[in-house]
Amino acid sequence: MQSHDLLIVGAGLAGMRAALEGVKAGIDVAIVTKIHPLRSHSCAAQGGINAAINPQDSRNSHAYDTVKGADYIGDEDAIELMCDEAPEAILEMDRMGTPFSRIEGGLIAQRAFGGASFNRTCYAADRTGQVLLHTLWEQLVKARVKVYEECSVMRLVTDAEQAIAGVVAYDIKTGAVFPLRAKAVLMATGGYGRVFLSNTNATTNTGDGMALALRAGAPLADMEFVQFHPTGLRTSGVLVTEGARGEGGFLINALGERFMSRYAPNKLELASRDVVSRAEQTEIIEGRGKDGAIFLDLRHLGADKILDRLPQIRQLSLDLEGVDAIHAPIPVRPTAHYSMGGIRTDKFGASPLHGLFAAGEAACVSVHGANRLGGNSLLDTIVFGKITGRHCAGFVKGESLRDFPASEVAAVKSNLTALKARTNQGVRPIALHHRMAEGMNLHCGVFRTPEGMRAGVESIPSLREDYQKIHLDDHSDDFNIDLLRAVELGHLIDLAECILRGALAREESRGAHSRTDFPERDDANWRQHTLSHWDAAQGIVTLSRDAVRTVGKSDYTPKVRTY
Amino acid sequence: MRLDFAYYPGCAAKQVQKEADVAARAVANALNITLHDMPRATCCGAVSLRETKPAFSLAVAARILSEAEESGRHLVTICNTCLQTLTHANHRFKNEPELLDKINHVIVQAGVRPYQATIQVYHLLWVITDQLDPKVVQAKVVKPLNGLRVAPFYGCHNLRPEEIFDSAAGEKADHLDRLITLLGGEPVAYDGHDKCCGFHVMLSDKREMRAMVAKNCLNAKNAGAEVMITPCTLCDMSMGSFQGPAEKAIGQSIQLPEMNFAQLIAVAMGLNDSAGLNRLHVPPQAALAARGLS
Amino acid sequence: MSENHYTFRIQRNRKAADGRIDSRWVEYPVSATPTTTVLTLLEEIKGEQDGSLTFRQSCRSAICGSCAMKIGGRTRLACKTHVESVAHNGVVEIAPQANQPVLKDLAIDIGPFFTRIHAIRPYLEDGPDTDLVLEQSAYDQVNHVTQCILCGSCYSDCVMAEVSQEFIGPAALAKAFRFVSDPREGQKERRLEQLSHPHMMWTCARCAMCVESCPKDVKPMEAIVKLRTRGIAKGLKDGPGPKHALAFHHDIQKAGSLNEFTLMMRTVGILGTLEELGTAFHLMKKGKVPSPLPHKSKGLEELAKIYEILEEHPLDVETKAKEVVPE
Repeated sequence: MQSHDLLIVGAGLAGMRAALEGVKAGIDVAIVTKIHPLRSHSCAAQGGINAAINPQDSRNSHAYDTVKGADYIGDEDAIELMCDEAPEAILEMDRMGTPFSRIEGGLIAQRAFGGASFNRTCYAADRTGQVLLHTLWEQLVKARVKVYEECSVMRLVTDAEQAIAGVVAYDIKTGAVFPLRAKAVLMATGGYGRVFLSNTNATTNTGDGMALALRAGAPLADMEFVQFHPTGLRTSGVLVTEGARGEGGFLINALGERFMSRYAPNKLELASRDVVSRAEQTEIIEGRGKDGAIFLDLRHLGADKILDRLPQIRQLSLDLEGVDAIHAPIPVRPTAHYSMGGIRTDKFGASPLHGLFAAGEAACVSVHGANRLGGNSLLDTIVFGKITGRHCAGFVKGESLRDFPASEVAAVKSNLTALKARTNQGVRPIALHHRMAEGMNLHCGVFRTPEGMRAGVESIPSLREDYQKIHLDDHSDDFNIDLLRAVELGHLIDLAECILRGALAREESRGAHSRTDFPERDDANWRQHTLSHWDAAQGIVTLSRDAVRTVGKSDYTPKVRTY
Repeated sequence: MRLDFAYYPGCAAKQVQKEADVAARAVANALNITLHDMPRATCCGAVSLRETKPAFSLAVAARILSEAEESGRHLVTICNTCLQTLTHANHRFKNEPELLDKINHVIVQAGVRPYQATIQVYHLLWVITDQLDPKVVQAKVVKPLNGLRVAPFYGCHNLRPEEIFDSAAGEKADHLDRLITLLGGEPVAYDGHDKCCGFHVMLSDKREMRAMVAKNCLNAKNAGAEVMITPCTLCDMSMGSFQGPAEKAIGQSIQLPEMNFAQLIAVAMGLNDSAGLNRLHVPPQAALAARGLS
Repeated sequence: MSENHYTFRIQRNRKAADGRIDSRWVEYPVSATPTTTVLTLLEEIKGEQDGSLTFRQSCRSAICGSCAMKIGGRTRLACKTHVESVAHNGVVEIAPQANQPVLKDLAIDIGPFFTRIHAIRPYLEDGPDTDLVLEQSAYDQVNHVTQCILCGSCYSDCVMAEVSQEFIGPAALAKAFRFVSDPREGQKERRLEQLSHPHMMWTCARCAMCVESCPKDVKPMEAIVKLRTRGIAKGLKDGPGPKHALAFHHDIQKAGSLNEFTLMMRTVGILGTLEELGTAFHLMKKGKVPSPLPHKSKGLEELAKIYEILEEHPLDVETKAKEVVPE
């Protein structure tokens, strides 16, 4: 049986950064990833990565902006750690070869981003995630890290003492099911955008790590906080970077009004994402949108600036909407984008489950609280990838491999065999996915009503029932994407339940969670994290609460958030 | 309309592919296209000069373009590589004024008239298919091709990179297809029509070059082509003269008659003395005779 | 926008018991507006007509590089290709990438492609060639090539890869240029030396197919040309590739036109020329022997003067990526 000290699931920025740290610490580290590392969705991050590298900026200011942006539910110890580590983390990426955009003298360029009090977002044109991802992959190749490519993790395995023993993996290329033992497992599997029908995410973003952790007994935190990005393309939901507004882009409604002046008179388009998305949704609901969208207007920037700074955005709008941003406004709308919630961890990425760690979007450390600031997610992956990788290396040195129950592999095999053996009479997986994801958009979107959320929660048993009836067209062993998607759909339904139950329970409006029946933030009762647990006996998700980790600074005392 | 051009046949047309030059001049004459020689023009340097001496290659191109500009005529060529090399430089001169200034500063010191970037670079094929009324061409066709199945082999350097050229390029180019139809032939669709003849690796990667020639010719032949034409003297050399070595390399006979587009026009216009068919590697006479074109 | 009817003609590939690939073409009807992407329609076919249709995809926004496949005869990213732009009489023909082994349907084995990328040591290295003084323009060349997402489109359409298993391919060479042109790179010379070996940078036929195929405008061939220039500048002049290029420059400088006879001599040497005699015999039969006395152009003294000036005062004329400069 193959074994490693540390097994990292997912090869995006967080996973690869952690792997490099493991190598540096001299432990045996391997990565399992269902897609080639360069296909990871980190590459789609466009605008940039925050760090106080300008002498006139400060780490304190970055931390303050983040605490406020998080609507005072971020864990302050983790936020301070992230902002402190940010400058060095960026300079390390620079030394590894990231081609950041530059200013005079070769210094890294920075641009304005929403919710930030300083232009502290470092960038590489509008493809920052892509160049960071390629840089880390280059270093991964250099370090000769073992990568199980196109292998999906089907189960997180624990021993009799509820400690991590490894994973059961599935080789997509061959259909082989095999065990991988490890002293520690780090989930770096990213988010779950596919829970929503309209989202900016890759189709592979199915929150596998969160769902596996949940079922293995680790709690997920704050799943009700889903960021709706203000500028997803109308038709496909594909992302248009906040950098487009950072460069001076306007948001206008169908009447041509720059409506943000009514919602955030100071920061306008560069208010925090939750604020801008609500403003847009209000415009649409009140009839000042067009075909369910409002518009991002870049025309006044001129062709040169658009081509220099936002070339990819212009091309995407042409390719996917048939609109040339130089000559016409781009139709956009709030679109599910990012999960503030995830596997609950401390500031070193450790979950309550012995041997399980998490980093990046899969984790809830929590640095983003109820609303993530633009430019902080890439930072989260790099900083906490590094910190968690280092912490894991320390952890495994005091651990030995745990017993790996052979029954786990057999159980996965029989599940997969049963799925493939279903007769072609049940429910098509795509239809079930559509039903679930459409329901999530409807019931748990930018504005949430009590009736909607209740309807959502009540739909879960029937989704689970129908999931038992889905059938596949592909019955073969090799490269069976049909099968993989069926497994992923199971993960999505678990996560949808966490989101819906968390949202219905949280009787306040905070950050991205905005209720029509409780429009105000309620710090007295709800300045707390929601934890989701899997109740195997009942087959449902149950909730509990967890305190916010504060550091006692008066600056961080909750205030009314205005921009 | 008076069609008057500075004529830049390229090195191959002056030596081993002389037949293309002879046919081009005869066809141009018949179509009232006047081709003026460029006595000062040198070799364009192809991509090779860009590799060894990038600045010198731009200066060489500027000097050639300047000669055409001084004569008040746009430039026309019958070699894809010359077309691409001169167009590439010209495109940069037109879009990078600072670069043009730098190069002009150098050539002026050598006594060359500064280039003002007013010249267009054309292929003779484009002049015939874009600038002439199809009826004018058809009026000169005394021996229509009678459905002769002709494989158009475009080559590379008149197609790519698409954005630099002064006529439709890339996947949009259809000049040869239109020409074949105009002459009464039937264009043959096949995999390879826009691929590489291998000329530029003829000496450095011989095995690969022969494999390219064989593949392109076989695909055309298997698609039913009786004859292949190209708009390029270098493609002619590969697909024609090197078809023999290519056959030997793959151990299979192909025997697809290949000629320059101007030679086929000459045949259709009855300009047999200028068609230079006897210089071709695979004799096309039988294929032509089968369509009553002897 | 009204919907059109299209037929997706898809190459379905399955591994047979003996390991060989069984290949057949299957047609699927779809309706869509002209600007619908091919990926959207492939997903629709997989979801509603046949779930066993297999292809890779992920980001839907032309940045992850998963969905490169042959669409209408050229390799394209399915996620950024409008159906109408690739339909011929309503038919859209789709096949896996070429020049690589097929796994299943439209999915290929990406191993051989990445083996080539690994071969150029795709990471920044320490060493003596690191530039210490950085100007804003120091990254101009790097910026352009790092747009590459390693989707494999260029390799799939590469005419040299089609006939040569050994050729390193355009993507690997563009990636190599990414490091050679990076001021932080410490092993530029060692890289250029490696790239001068057979089947590396000098084997490109310069057809520019990669420039056309690239969905991210990386222009791999331009990177290859720049690598060659840097190689020659470093004195790496052995092998037929650089010799051929240098012979050109010699002929033009001396005679104003190419001398095909001496060109051959200089490129492949005496032995190579004798070997070519078989070919030469073919040419001779048709009266096509290159003349040892090529045609001389007028005003060659101008050319000599230009050459002299540029040798004394070299000019940087390299194309550059558009600068990304904040206010």
